[in-house]
Amino acid sequence: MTDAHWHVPPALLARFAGDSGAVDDITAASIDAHLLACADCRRELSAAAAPTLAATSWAAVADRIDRPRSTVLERLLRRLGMRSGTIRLLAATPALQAAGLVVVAVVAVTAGVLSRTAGADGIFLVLAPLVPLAAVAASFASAADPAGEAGVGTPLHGAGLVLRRASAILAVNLGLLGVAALALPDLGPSAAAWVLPSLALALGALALGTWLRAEVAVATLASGWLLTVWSLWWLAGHDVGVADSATFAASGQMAALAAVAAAVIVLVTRRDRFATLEVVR
Amino acid sequence: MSSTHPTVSVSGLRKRFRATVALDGVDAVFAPGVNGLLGPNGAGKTTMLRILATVLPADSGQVEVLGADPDTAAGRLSVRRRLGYLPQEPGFHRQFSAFDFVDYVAILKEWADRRPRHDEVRRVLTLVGLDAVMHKRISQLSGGMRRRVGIAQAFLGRPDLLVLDEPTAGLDPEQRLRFRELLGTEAAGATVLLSTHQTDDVAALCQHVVVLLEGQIRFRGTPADLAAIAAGRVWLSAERDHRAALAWVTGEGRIRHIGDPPAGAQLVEPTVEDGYLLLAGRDAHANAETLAS
Repeated sequence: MTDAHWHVPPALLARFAGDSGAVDDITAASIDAHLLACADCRRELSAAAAPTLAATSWAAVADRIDRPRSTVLERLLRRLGMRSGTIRLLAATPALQAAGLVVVAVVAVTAGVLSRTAGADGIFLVLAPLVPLAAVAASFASAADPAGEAGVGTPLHGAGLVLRRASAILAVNLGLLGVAALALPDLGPSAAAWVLPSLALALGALALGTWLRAEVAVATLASGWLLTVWSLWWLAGHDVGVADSATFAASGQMAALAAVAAAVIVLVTRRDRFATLEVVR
Repeated sequence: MSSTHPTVSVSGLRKRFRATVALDGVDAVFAPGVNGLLGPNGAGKTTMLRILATVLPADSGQVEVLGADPDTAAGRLSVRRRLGYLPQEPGFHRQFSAFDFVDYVAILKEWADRRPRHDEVRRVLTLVGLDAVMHKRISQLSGGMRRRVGIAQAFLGRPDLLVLDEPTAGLDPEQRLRFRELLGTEAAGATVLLSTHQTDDVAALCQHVVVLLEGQIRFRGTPADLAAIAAGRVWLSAERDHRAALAWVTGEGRIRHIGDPPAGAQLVEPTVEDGYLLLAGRDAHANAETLAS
């Protein structure tokens, strides 16, 4: 309860107005309670407060209110030390969010099925590279950027942004697929034979995307991949499993590595194509 | 044309999309101030603005924007750091709020620090009168409000060059007035390139106007110069005169004609719209004659 005839001494009020740390907590709470009931002291406080104080305080409150709500992914990336702007560029992209959800679902179902299927390693090795291919393509498809054409005329738009997004989604994909591979019934060195083809297809989609629409590039590479795997298996005479065919042997891995290198060269030489609307038309 | 030093210049600019020629050897210079691009749909206005906003490369020709060549990576980056761009169709993600969208564009414009970025986002949204609805989803905003969200992001950071493709499309008369005021206060000293179908916007806003028809520039000068094209060729009468190139009924129920006036016609002061219609109509007429021959 406060005394109606008592007023906060001007010197104390000035300290309270200037810096909340200049008065102890109990005194500050008392002044707060008194101010609620005393219009005279509220007027004195307004006069005593630095002109910029209210604006600064309001800016801090408004900033808190206006800060976009963080998703779980954004909070996770922030904990990993990523800057808030970079996090928004990666996590606020709806196409990436959707692609991420699809990947998690596909990998979870795949892992469950594989763990109960004999000889499933061949199926996994064939299908696993298609998952990052689709996800990476989503990161640079025409509808991927939430700022649309307005975003194209900005300094950050271009190959750097596309590769940053592709790297993020590729890292998540490869990690999850790696976990799924652990569910394979016949876990051996060949269980990792999907990694290089995955990289080759994902980077190949970006490289081919400098000539074709993302959707066309993905369809071309996916069908090319399936045709190659089937052809090499068929040429081997059907008496070996898909996992033991040339695609996943040393020669196939070397070919995938060469494809990765070729895709990187194309991306470097044609990076300018990502800077304008030409690549997303 | 303004006597100030040109900040944007193009020469021999060409662009085609498969069989369609969008720009056919365009030469133009633009100085600080508001520069209007007039022309019918398909005349090449959007293509030209996209090239000047660095979002589309030209097939051939020289382009210089704010002293840089947008055909090089360094030049493009230099232009984009000083550019505010409103596309004809911004295509923003509708699940974003107005604040989220402008904040996202601000990040793309290299506003890395959150506090000053959010202050700037609030400032531009307040400028366009959206401060009360800035946290509403864009999908819940009216067409005019969505247009203002697009305008707000273009004004982020007080750019030196504003490229605005039909900024007043979808705005009601009061909002168009506010937009004109906004250009007067926020774009002072900047080079503004805007395309529009609204000839009254050109008359009210622009110091310099270019008329683009079928990928070529058919007029460059002041709005007064454009109106003057129709001087002595606009008249009113009670009955339609079929010798006129163009004629329409006015709000007062009289017929306004543009063309070669008959003897004794009641001539009236031409407007920018009259000049533009005469120019566009003459062009269409010439094309029709070419096709007929």
